[in-house]
Amino acid sequence: MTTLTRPTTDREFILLSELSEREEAVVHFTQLDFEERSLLAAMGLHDDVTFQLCKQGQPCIIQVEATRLGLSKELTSKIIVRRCTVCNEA
Amino acid sequence: MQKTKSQPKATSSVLLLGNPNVGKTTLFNRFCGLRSATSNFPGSTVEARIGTSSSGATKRTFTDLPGLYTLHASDDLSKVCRNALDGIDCNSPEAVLVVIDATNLRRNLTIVNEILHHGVPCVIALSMVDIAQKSGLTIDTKKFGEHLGCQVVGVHPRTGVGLPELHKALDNIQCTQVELPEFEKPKEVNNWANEIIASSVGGTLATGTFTDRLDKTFTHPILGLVVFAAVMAGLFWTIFTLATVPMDVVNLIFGHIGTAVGSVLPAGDIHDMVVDGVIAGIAGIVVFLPQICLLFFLIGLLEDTGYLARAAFVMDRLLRKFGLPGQSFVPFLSAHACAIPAIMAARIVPDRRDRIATILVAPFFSCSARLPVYVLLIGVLFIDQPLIGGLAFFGCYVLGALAALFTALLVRRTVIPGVSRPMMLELPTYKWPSIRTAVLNTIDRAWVFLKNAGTVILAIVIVLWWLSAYPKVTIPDSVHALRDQASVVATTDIVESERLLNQANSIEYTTQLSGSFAGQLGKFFQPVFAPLGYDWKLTVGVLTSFAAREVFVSTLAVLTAGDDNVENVGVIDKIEHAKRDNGERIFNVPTAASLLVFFVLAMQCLPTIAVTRRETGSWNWALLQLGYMTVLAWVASFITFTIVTMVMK
Repeated sequence: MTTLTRPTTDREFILLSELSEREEAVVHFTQLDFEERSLLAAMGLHDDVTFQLCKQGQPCIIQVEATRLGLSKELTSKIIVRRCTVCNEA
Repeated sequence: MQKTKSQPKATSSVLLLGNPNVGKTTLFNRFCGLRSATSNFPGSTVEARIGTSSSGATKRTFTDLPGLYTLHASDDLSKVCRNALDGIDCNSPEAVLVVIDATNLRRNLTIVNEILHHGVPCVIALSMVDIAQKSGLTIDTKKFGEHLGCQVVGVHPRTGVGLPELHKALDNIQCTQVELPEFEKPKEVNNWANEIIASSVGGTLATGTFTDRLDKTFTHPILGLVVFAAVMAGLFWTIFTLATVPMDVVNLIFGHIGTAVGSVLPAGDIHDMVVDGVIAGIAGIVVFLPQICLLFFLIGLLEDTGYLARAAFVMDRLLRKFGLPGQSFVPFLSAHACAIPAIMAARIVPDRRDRIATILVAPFFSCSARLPVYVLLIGVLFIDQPLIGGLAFFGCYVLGALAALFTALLVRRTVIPGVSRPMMLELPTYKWPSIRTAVLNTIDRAWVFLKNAGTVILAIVIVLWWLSAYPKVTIPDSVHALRDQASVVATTDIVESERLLNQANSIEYTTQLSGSFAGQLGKFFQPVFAPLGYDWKLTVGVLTSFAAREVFVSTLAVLTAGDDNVENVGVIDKIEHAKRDNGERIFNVPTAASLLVFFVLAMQCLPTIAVTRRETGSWNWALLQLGYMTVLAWVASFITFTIVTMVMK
């Protein structure tokens, strides 16, 4: 099991649970099981799709195109995302 | 891949498929209206609505299956949809109408690709075009269709805009001839979807801050709960307030029907069976139809607004503490209408262990079949106290919910140990609910309820009438004496004469009932229920209601129908004022309270047990559910009876 270290705010890779509201990101890596990953992908959250964080907390609400997905905190702390702002600046 | 063009036929079957929340059912309702019915899909427990629609000389049968994200998941719904496309266990569809959301094209194209791979002729209905346009998107449907190799029609399911064009497209339907990406390779599918979107969609989707604000309120740890409590309170208050008048009307109508039919039929067994068996028994059920219709209608409206998904997250915080996932909230809400669709709705719970826990506790939530019993018993307990009666009603719902939660906790610590899976759920767009859709769904559900009342319950009440009418018992001498006395005083005191006749009829009726098969059955089992305060009539009612809860009221309606000692003409009034063999009221306060608790907690529904067995795949779970709920109900009722009796003293 990979240990997820707490990232700083300017890091490119960050836990979804630590992303700021209105920030855009792409899923980089998840510690979810196969079924959870498949369902997320079927709901529109693929690895290479940019999403926006609408609300942090329980639930965490993200928007992929016009689809809004609610994710519980247990899931968001298992998803590492690549922040688009930091990525674009780099 | 097929390349042939199919010709329009006199009757053709069309399968509706698509993601959840894309307006599929609204479109189906627009096509079929009242010409539809809900039934299980052949060979499965997946519920489908089937209806017909005509356009010119062509009559089409539409089958609307529940929405799904992918055809290749391991759940039952995906399997049923795959089989339906391939014609396994059913006839092959002649066309598939795939409904997709114009504001979520990338995600929707995933399922379009999967469906097109099955080689069935397809038409794409592009819904929510108006929202996409308002949000800044323009879609070239012709170009979009060229990429997919099938016709794409923009529709507005609520207004019916685009329906003639859809019929036209279905007349000229064809299989796709384009090359499609392999659905097993999500990256390829995504690139393919991106290409289509890039070439046929213009503009950028604007996201609304209004939705953000609403979501923040509705899912807020405190505000969310306040809103949830207010919505639920409003829902149930509306049901119990608005349903009163139509319930009275139904009661009155059946009263008149009983009188009219009774005056036409000659006295005898046929007369008694029709008036006391069929009419009284059916009236005991149909009188609650207004409440059931209102519940389904309001749940339909609420679901359509998009609020229910947010409410599921509000409930997730609570439910997870008891080992259940937030998704369980949806089956639990359905359980307030009926436990059977609730148990079937538990399929949305992805984890099997979570699902079984949800199924086991769902019947604790007060279903509409319990409403007749609640109305009857609360009416007995709180006469002319509508406010306290309302609170008692609420208390029944709370008691059921608490029993469900603590049972879930017990289950997750014993037979199914573990914690629930974290929740992920699509939050549909907020919108004004469609009255038409809600009304059509309500009519559909009400029809299912009435069919049940007209078949199963009718059969039960006829059997009950027969059990209470046979064997024929010798009329006691006291009855003849009272009748003789009545005829003597008839010329001088008509009131006294009527009183004596009523007394004679009552004694005759009670003697007959007591000696009947029903009476013998009730007396045999009565010792089991005696500690709860039930006499043999109530025991018969409780026993028969193990088939279906609502039968309880019908049973008592049959058992008290001939009791002329009761002056009230309404079915409910008659039951409420029914007497025991010793002349005391059947429903005294401790008995009514005990019975109320029993009905809140007991598992009295054979179809639910059958559905639990089917959904869990094991009789063990079904029998555990039945045994646990019955024992819990008996113990809780005994405690209630003892406490209330002590307080009343």
